[in-house]
Amino acid sequence: MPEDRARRVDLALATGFALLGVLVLLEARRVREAVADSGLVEELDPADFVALLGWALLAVTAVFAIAALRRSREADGAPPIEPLSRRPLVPLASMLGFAALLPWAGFTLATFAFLAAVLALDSRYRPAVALAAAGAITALLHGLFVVALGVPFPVLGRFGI
Amino acid sequence: MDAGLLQGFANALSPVNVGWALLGSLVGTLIGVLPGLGPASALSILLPVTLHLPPDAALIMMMAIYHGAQYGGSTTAILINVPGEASSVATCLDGYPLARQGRGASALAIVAIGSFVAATASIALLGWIAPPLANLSLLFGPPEYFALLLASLVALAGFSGPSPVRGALAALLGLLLTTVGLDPLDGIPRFTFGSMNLMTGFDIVPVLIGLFGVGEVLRSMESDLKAVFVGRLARWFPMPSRAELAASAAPITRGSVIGFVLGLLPGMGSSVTTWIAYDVERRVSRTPERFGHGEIAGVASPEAANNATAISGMIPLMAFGIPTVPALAIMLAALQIYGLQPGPLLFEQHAAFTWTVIAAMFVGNAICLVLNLPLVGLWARIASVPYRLLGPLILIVALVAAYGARNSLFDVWVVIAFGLLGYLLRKIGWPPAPLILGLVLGPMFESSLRQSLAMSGGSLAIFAQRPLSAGLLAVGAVAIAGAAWFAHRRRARRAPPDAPDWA
Amino acid sequence: MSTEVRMPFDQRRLRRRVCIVAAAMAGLVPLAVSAQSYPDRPISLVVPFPAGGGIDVPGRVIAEYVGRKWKVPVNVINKPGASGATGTLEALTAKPDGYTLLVDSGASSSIQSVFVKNLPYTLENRSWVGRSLALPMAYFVKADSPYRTLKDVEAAVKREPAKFVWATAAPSTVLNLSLSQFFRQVGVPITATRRVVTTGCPAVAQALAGGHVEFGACAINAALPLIESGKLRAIGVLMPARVPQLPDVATTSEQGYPKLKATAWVGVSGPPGLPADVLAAWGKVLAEAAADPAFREAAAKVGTVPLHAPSDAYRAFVLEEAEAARQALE
Repeated sequence: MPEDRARRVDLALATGFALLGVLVLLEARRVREAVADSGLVEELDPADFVALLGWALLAVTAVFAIAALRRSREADGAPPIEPLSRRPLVPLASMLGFAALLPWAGFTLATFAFLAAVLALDSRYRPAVALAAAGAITALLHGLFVVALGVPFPVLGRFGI
Repeated sequence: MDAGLLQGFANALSPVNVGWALLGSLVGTLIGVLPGLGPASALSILLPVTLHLPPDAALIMMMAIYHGAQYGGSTTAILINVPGEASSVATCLDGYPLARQGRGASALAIVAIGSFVAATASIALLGWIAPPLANLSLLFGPPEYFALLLASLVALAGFSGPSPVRGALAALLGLLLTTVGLDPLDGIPRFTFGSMNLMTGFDIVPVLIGLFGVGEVLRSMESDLKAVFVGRLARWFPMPSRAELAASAAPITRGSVIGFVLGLLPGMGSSVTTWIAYDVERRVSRTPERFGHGEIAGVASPEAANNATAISGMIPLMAFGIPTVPALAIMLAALQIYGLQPGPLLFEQHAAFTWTVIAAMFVGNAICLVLNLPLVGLWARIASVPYRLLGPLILIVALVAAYGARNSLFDVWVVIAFGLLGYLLRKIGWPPAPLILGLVLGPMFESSLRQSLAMSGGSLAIFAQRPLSAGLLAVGAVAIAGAAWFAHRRRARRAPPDAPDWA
Repeated sequence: MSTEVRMPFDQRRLRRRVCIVAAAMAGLVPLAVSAQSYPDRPISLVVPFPAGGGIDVPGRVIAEYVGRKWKVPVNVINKPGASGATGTLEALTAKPDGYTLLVDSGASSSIQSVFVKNLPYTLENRSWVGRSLALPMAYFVKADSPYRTLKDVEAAVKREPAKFVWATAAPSTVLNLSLSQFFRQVGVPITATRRVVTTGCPAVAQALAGGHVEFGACAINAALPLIESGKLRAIGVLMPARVPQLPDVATTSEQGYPKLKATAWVGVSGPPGLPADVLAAWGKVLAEAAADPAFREAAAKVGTVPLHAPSDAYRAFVLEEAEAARQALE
């Protein structure tokens, strides 16, 4: 039932936030030591502020969890939770691939790889058309960002592409 | 004085200067269209160029660049839901739905017109009553800043989505994200875990582009969106309808006032004032539920506030040499290099130049309008590009822009991570806006709170003892109480009688 | 964090390079004596702080002058972040060929080394090219303040430290050092007072002008417009002699505080191991600048004064400042 799924998602989120709150408070403790080390004395020091946020997070999470347990989502005004699909996986994986490729393959190759992957795999373009489009756009972006704007990207090989 | 202004216009309207203004406007717009690059980046990129020009040409060009870059950022915000900068995020909220309805051209035109009106009115105020206004910019001390920010944060976060609790959690998350890195006052590392990347903290640009741009693209690709707008776009030179223009008049006025007054305060840039304008517009509207679904007031007001803030920020700059935002710090440096010291003597000792500057602001602003209005139809065609091409294009530009912001590979990972987060948030119906708000307001929120308590020796009473801060807190409390009461009534009418009432 | 990539090893290219270098060296032997071989391409001056700030603007004055003299573009590159550590690290780990240098100041050297822990570089490990400019600083009070001299301030601090509200900036700034030294001199621990930390010079001036704090320090140039508007008053100049912009304001020495002398200086440093000809060329041009009326005028426009020191004196000065900062820490 959509309501059950909504409640489960909300409770999972509440658990996640509670965990985050605890981590925040732990970091606050570590920062407090660093502050004491440096000899700073303030009314509200960097550690105190973080602790403040941590406690606020825990308090609001508690309210959220109780609300999630007790009543329906529609009355809350929140829209229903949509089921996840596998469609965005290709663009997402391609972006991760780009980030991984960028430092050693260079900007142009990583861009081409990304565009080729997304255009060829995800859409209804024919592979040849997709690769051609990827090449054209890559050339355009290269011209814009590397040549025109001179953004210092990592480069590959002797041509510095 | 009027003779001075006329002479100023004569200088500003020389063909050479107009040429520089056109160039500045064009280049500024093109730079502003690129996500992550806004007025400050455009100015610092072109600073070496402008410094080679004579002073009046340089300042005209800088103003044109500033306005152009601002407009460019709004363009992408409306057409593809990618905000150029933090100040364009509010424009996304209603601008993109308008583009989805095929009204992108109207939205762009209203933005151009509203920006022009707001900037012109602000320039007029700047020219005539700058000195007394400058004094206002000193009124705010840490307690006042904190009161304003607290009220804004609670109001916006708590009530900008269907559920105040979710909004509060998102806002807290945003605030927490700003604590990663060095603290704003003492430089103590927090949440850095020994990593040099984390020590510089999260730059807001990759987070924005990820949360809004990438997140939206992922969701659109999932739902197999054919194009931003499926349908025939009307004409090549569309103008907004009379009804739309009439409906934008009041929002533009309100946005201008809010943007102008708040922009006087150091630290208050467009990224904050656009939100406040948007929220005020939503509260005074007779149809608040239309906000977020293509309400023209939701675009007109923030954009007007944007431009008004940009101009009123020049007042403390010229009167006291206090730059309210980083972009103005660059302008201050330029002014000084030309030998123009800010201060009360600026008008007296350099009257001719100051009037030229003011005339230059008019001209730069007007040229931006003249240049961009006819192109509105052209820009709006972007909404018709098939999404299977547009989507990947947005993604790759987002990745590149994220890298380019700080030449940092870390930021590329950030944009992907926040893209995923933005996608998931949309799936579960959480509002991403409060997160951005927390991120934007975080450093000032923390600094002002800590400074206020340092001033008072640890006593919270300081907020109540100072009339201005007490007043701001009271206004905020009233606004929140009013909104809570309305929400309660709406929910009571909707929910079945036996459902428990909560939060 | 490095974003460079290692070029793949290419033998043909390496061999070609070796030949070129050998030929160049053979050709350069007759020219070896002249300093004209440096510079032959644009130079980058890294400013580890945002554009338009108190280090950036003097850096640009230097860059513009040197660029004009040498007819080679000298570009200022801003690399802000991590209290100045990001840009400084990048400049100090660049290739020591004289084409990437650092616009140095206390906030990226002496004071930073004392107040910021775990820096990825050390104070000593750099080439000292030369000190060039200084930003005169002064102590300020709000306009309607009852304090007329530094002695008045001292009395007020001693009388009721718990109610004394003053503004400063981050620990790694000269601004903060000058204020820490004041309280040390006066003999009142800072923790007994109400210390408000702000983000820097303009913020201190603004807080004073609005009457939100009573005492602070700032670069005179940044506060000048507010002084002229009557919102601020200077009560002690932190320079050896009075400054022309504030002829009526006594120096700290005149008021009986000769040990209060923090200087917001700006100079040029570089990665360790800079070649002798680079150091010589820069030493020459910086010395020329100090005597050149055009440079002095450009410096004055942005509120700085020339404060030249050649390489060795510069190094000694910075190390001495670090020691002073260390002492102010206890």
